[in-house]
Amino acid sequence: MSKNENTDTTFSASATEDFFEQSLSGFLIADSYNLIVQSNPRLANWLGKTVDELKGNRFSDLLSIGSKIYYETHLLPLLRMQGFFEEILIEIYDASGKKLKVLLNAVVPKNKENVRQAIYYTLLKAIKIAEPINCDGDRIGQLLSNLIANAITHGTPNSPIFINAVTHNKTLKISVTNSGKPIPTSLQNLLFEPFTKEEDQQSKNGLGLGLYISSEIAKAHKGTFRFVSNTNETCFTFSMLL
Amino acid sequence: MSVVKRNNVIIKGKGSQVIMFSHGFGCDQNMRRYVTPAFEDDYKIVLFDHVGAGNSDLSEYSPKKYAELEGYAADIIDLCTQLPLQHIIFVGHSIRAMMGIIAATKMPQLFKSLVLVSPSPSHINDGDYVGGFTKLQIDELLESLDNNYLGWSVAMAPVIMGNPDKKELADELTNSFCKTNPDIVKHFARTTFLSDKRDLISKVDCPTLILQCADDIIAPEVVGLYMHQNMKNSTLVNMKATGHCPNLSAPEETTAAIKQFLK
Repeated sequence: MSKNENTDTTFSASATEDFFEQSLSGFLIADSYNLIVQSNPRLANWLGKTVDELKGNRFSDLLSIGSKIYYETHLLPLLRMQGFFEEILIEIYDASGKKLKVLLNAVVPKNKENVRQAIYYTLLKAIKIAEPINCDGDRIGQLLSNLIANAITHGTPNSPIFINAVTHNKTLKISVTNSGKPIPTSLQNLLFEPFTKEEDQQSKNGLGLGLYISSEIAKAHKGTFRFVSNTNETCFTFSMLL
Repeated sequence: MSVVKRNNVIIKGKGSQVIMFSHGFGCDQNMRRYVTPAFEDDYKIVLFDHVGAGNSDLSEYSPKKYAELEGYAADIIDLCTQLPLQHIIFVGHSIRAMMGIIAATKMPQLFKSLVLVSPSPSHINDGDYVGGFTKLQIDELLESLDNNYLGWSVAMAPVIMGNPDKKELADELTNSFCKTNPDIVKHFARTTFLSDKRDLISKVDCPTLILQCADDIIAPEVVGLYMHQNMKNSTLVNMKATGHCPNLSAPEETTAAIKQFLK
């Protein structure tokens, strides 16, 4: 296939710009002093600032105090030594001053003489929840933690665990999915009863209370707690109306 | 017990004058990799990992001993007496610089000079003293560690393994760099960020170099100045390098400043 070089170049430049403007991830370029040179509207919006307001600020000043020290003592040394780091959970302050958890990636661009483009950062929102939710945060955290612990115990060790949390159509949905053997049919009806566990369970740590407690937490929030378990995947989903 | 095994001691270099490098909070002796080669021709270089970091013997980690910086300082003295080393040049980064100061006040005869890179005697603001953080901020930091919100050290190893470009570096780093037990990180952060050694720094007699970076949030410029004003035999060098780890971000400038001081 022949291609028109001129058209390609033009398209490519504007498409890249458009992508930078509209992408759902946060992008940021820092100079060799780690001062912000450029960011995209998405990131500025998370932070409650404009792209121009962010310019010249120190990257680490976007971070919570714990993340800031972690960044200075661990992540920046790592970046200096291996040229990148990937998907590290950190906290930034959002527009309302609350801590927002994001996954941070950074890379030192190759063959760049320009000191104004010393580090490229990408920020991904770990969890996409658009509005404040009226719930018992600690208990919902406990529910999620129980589900993750179960997925770690019962899932295939070398397959990922998928965690999803979204608000959509006035409903909050939190789900945890793992691969591995399906839950035995004999156990499925008893799953949310207290002290239910597999006979040949590898981990002897659990009392078999995790799912019972999680389902009670779901009830207390007038929500539902359901699961699907087959040879493809096992997925537990908590839903509540907002 | 062998201090060589306990502290993963590595000795190299062609000279006879001992220069001991002590790494900072968070990582291990690998942090010195860009700086030490410049000293190999003229010095005997002693590298080690503090207990709890890198490839040190974790079974030697005692929460009681290492709740105070004095526990780590005692290890530095152990290293000098058992190896044995005398009249050493001690290069300490960040909080480890303070351990060198403690050791130098306890056993001054062991030390020829101190090189303190991004040091701070106390991180918490107190009256007129500016340490860089309020007590509230440090409490928040320690709380975030207690809750393990960020995963701190544990997330490190897999990240390093994913480095396809520098295979040899990756293999080496995977085994040690930043690989720290989360409980030890928590404990050490408490020891680091709550310690206050302001009363001790004036008791050091040997020549001391203070390397101060620009824009270091962990050891701000006022802290370097405070140390210089309170250490009678000290030289303060304000570096162009920014951040807290000039040994990684500006190894040439760091090396040149140390060599100038040692001339």
